[in-house]
Amino acid sequence: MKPLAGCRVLDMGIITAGAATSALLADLGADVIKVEAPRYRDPFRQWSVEAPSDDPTALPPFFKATNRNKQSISVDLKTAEGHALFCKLVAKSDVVLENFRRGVMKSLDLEYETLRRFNPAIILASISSQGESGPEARQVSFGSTLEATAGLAWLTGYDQGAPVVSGVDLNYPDQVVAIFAAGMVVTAWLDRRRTGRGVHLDMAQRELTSFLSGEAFAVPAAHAGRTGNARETYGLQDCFAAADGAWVAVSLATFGQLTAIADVNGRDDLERWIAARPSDEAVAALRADGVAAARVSTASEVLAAWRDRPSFSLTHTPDGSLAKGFPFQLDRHPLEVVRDAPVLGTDTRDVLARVGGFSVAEIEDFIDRGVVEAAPEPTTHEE
Amino acid sequence: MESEAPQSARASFPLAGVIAVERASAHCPLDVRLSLGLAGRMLADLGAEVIKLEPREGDPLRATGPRIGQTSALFAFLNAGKKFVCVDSDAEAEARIIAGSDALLRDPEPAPGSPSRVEAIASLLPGGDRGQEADSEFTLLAYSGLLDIVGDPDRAPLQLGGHQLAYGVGLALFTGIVAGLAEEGGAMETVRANFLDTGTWLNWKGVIAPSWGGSSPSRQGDAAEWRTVRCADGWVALVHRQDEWPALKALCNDPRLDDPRFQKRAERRRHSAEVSAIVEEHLRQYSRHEIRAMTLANRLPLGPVWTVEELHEDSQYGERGFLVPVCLPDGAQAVVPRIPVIWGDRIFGPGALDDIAVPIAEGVQ
Repeated sequence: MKPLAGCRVLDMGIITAGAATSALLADLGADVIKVEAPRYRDPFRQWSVEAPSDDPTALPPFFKATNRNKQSISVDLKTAEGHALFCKLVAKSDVVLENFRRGVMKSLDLEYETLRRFNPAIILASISSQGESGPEARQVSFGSTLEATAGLAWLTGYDQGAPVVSGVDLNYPDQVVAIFAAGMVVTAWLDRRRTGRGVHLDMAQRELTSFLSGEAFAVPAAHAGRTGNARETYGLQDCFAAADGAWVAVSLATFGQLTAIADVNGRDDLERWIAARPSDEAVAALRADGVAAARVSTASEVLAAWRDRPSFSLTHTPDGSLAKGFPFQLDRHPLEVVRDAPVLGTDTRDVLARVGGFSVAEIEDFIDRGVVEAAPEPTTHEE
Repeated sequence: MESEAPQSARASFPLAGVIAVERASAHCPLDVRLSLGLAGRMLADLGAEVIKLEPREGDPLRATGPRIGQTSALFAFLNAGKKFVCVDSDAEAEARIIAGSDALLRDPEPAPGSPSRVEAIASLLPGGDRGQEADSEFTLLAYSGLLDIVGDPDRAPLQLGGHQLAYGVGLALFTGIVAGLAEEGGAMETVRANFLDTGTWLNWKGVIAPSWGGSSPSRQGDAAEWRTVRCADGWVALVHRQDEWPALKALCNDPRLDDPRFQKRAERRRHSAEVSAIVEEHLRQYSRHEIRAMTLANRLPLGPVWTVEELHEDSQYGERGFLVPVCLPDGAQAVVPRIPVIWGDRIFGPGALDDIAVPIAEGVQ
């Protein structure tokens, strides 16, 4: 039995932060039902910056990676019937997960107190920018906004230079939160098993971003400006340009570590020594002396290296495409992708029948009246 | 909101009753110690009893700066609320302690003894200790492509502040451990996390893009679509998507932003340096507090860059009790972030930082 076997999650997570958290729960064996609405799609369904194929019905790769292993239903939560239907699913579920703008769950009348009326032991996992409370609770932000407001940008940048954010292509806080938030949901699930009680988890991404540079908060005066790549764990740590134009990343405890490399006794010596030879030669010589050294890889080089020596960070989905894998792996019950991301409403009929207990006639009536939306009956593609 | 829990209240914490042992071998790289430390700190905050095994001379992280009085800030942040035990190469004593635990956090070097439920192993590279001596958090940032993304195109690649990758691995260890504890059936589970896989996973958008012919940009510096720009008293992160473009234009009220090249995101993205420079001219007249007020009023996702010092006075953090004091062994105090979750109406601040343990053979029972 996988760790989360028997745990049913109603996933209202969108884009990266929410959807990637419930994807990790699904990878761990939870029964994850992605809930969208006839007039509200996960924006990631549309967010393909570049079209991966000429097939206009193909799901964008970013959406696919963050929604694998899930089922999909579409319910109009703004109608009384849709709301009642959703609450019936809540009664048969363990977790509701959302990362909407603060205020949306209230406007949908789906706050924790409402959900509890239908299921006293429900776990509501809320992932937001600033949390449920406080003067900035309603502030709108994306990952890099939070790097600025949480202190991470203040700590990132060249020596004496301007603060720097990770930017739209990495959007760091939105990636890392999934590992944390999934951990909190699993902890709440463990706690519920012991006590029988559910909980509302209020997780603020801004707080997580500060937590992940928490040591700086203990001594703010020591962080009056930025220090490039230097860290307290090494005597010297930085990137140096090699003769072939590549950058070499070096972490050096002391210059005494350099025994086979002659006449390098300071930063300037090391810079000149690396600049005088190709990166591969510099890296090999430094590593032979036991010094941590590596050529800085581009994304394509990372992919090529992964293809040479695959590991669990990336994986292939059943349709054969490459996707995000897992941030860790379990030996006994490995995380795996067993199902491709769903077309909208693929599982509406099944979930309403199996979980909601509705009859076929009731379900078809809901569909006809637009309370729910179902994917067109499967048209099997012959390869 | 309740905070600060006496021992009795800890019985109601979510991980009450769980015993975890944290063990770094003598050869464990410093950066892996950071990962083990963070996972242990999170377990302790949530109510587990965390026993950190230390050699007689102490964890080498105790020697890192900067310091608060006599204590390393880094060590204090990672180890508040844990119980330190010095077994001083007494393998039998060590095995006994591990055998009494539910979970063991360690580096790839095998430990004497097994916990009852979960073993979590952290390493720099996949597959354990292969070549660990010639790697670090920084070289793994290089291998996973994360280093290539941040900074200016003509300058050295930059890592994000602090120890993001080591702590990312720490989060992975934590989530792996609680997943292992959730498994029914009572058999042992082994969790594996390493810097290369966590780094590649965090960088997945860039890394998989070439597999479908997409592009993965390297450092873009001032040409980045989202970047920091100057304001009257510091910097602000300029963050916007298509939805916020009209509000941003309204804020600047500058006809140059009506340029047809800037109206669609895909095209605007190619002219980011130009767009940011125009917006910066306008933001320069506002302070960060004024920009904060505008973001709340206009739904603009602009981010004032606060210093760590300023965040100690931040009203949002204050109202949510986010920064909490930790008592240090010499009587001094460190103020650090609590675990970033409010659990119903409860918050979980870390316990005190204990004094270094004397070897058990010499200790008074």
